Amino acid sequence: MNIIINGKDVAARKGETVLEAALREGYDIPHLCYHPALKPEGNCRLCLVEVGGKVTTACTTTVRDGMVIELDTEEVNKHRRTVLEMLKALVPKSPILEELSAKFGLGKVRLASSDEVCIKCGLCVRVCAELVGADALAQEGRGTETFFNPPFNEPSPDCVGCTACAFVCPVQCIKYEKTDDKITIWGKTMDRLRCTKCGASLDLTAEHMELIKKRGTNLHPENLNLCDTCSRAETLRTMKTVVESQLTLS
Amino acid sequence: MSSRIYYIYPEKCTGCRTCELSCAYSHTINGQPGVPRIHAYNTKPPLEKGIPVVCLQCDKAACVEACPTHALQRNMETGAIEVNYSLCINCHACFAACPFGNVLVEPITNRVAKCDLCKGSPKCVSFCPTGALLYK
Repeated sequence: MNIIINGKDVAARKGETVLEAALREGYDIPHLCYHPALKPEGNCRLCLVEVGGKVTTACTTTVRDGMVIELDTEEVNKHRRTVLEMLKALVPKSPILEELSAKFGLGKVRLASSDEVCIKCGLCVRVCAELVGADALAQEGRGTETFFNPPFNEPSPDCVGCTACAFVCPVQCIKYEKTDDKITIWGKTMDRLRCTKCGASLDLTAEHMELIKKRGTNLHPENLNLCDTCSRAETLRTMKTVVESQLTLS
Repeated sequence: MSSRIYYIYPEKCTGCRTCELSCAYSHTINGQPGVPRIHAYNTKPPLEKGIPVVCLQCDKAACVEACPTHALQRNMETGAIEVNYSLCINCHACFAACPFGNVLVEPITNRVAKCDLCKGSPKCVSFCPTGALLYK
């Protein structure tokens, strides 16, 4: 299947989206709420492109053979600037939004800036539910009143403290605190595990470890609570016995 | 399955740790050496010798099973299990899962790091002075 991006023939795979095809072929489309491991939702509205003369989001448009796509027309950039202006009013001091505004020539933001720090893309909720499998976050309210929180904005019993939500947040608005033995995120404080041998702090909580154990049959429970240095020491001991037996044989 | 295999001959290793250096300097981050994916340990007497410990690229790998986003996938050309950083959500599940301690955390970026066989030309193999490491 072939699509035409900026007048150039580009190979595309059946069923993929315009954004996926363009990113794979090295074209740059700004996007915030797209994550390759998740189904696209089209929440941030930044990945606008022109498909056959109509402006639409690239992440939710499936490719068709012979599709004509323009990435940088004046029309697309005009809409992109408007979207960016609204996002910037929501989160005034985000480095990535600053960078994109400079790139697309957005001047002063005409809207009153909010005191919030979230662009309402919902990526944190999707990652927590679909990838991590904890399902500790939820959407609250609608429209401009949307918030992403643990249900009822209370510390969630389901949160495992993996900090994946903070990692994927495109504007880095989810804050957490890590000390040597505790982690605090979304108002919940959890203990970090310690290596059962040397006592070094592991980067995981007991709740997160329970989730990981459910994922596979080939995980070794006796080694899960060891730090990487102690695991390597175990490996070394095994290797040493092998080498010793070989040396005595020869 | 890949036709090329990474061999370790511990009996030839002298524990000089040149492999660790070559690994750290071939996985640099903004000019700073990265965490070495290979470790050469010197064992205590009675058997005094070096033993390299490096990712074994397991057939049924625990890191692959533990990954919630399928960011860890085998590169069929080199045989290495590689981290696809655009899929990775930095949950460190692979780091906990590896029973051999060969998935590491890069201290500068806090991202996970593992041996990727240098995309088909492992630097530890080319720098090993005694031929304890081989990739063919």
